[in-house]
Amino acid sequence: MEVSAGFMTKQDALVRFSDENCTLQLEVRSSVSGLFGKAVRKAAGEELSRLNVINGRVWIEDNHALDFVIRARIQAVVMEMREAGCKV
Amino acid sequence: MRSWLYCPGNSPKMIINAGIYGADGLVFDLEDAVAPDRKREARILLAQAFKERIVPVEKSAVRINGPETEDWNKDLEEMIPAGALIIRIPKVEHPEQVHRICNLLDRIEADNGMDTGKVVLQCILETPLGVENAFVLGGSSSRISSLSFGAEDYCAAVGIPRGSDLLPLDYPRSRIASAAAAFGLSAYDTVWGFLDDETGLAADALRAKSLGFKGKSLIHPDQIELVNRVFSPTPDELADARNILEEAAFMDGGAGSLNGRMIDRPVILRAERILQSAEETGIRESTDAE
Repeated sequence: MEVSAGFMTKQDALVRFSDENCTLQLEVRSSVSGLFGKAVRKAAGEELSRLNVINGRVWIEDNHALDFVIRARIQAVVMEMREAGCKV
Repeated sequence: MRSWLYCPGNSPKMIINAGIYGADGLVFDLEDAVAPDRKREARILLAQAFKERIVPVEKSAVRINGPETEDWNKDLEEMIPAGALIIRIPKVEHPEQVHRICNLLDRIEADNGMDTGKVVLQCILETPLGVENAFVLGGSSSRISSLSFGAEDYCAAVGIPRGSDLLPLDYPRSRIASAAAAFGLSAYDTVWGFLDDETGLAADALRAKSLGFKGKSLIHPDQIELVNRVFSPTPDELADARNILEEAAFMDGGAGSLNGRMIDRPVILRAERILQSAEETGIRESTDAE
């Protein structure tokens, strides 16, 4: 199963989450990766950790999103996945 | 509050920038501006923006989904703990709907250690039934801080056009403004949806002001300046109010006169309100020296 949240519009991020049977993998593609790619990864990683996500695969396509947007989009996909009954 | 700018609740760009345009208040929308399959992610995004104080919380309202939908309670469960203190309810028609919302608010406030009644409600009346029930709705809860008019749905339901002919809206506007005043609430007018028609916006806003509305909801930042101007006291109104209060200072409690006009308690009260409104909006009377 794969779910997504957010958009590719400016200052937003499209986050996709697949419940693949693997340890958690996080992939970030950012229009400003040289400058903020690390920050996006850090915000996403912290949020996934806070939500106790230990497996699955997360892709983030960032378009200048602030940290609060990354955190919110991560929450949205994790919640949707869990409400669908997936153990992630 | 003279101007309430609507912002889509699922747009980070609009959420981040909404506060910079000069509107007195912001309304972050979880209702019409958000597609049904995006409701969850919108409320999570908006809640995060409130938690991290990305938005100016003290002047930001959240328009939740209507009381007959499946989403209004989820909106409140998410937004109140995040810090939202002003909730705008669309399509209100019955006091029972307000009571249902208040009951949930009581519980959420208690769960989050908040004082009961801290969250206030703005009711939008946008159906014929809502308009007819304006008075009972205005008095249905001490949480209610304002009544707003929503003309688009009202016009569709009654079968009248929404446009430059403002007369058909005098009845619902007057009813709402009068009901709001009966309970000491503010009345806020409906949006003007014709973005290129500034003349129409000005006429619409002036009409609403003349009927007792204190401000207006907006759908675009370009509308803010004009609407703020319309709902601010004019220099003539300010000068008149000051003259009335100066004259009143010499009166002995009863009635007096100024330039052939009777000055009594209601006139003084109105003058005081005009000066208070000017003070709240940072407006000063221009003087000859300036």
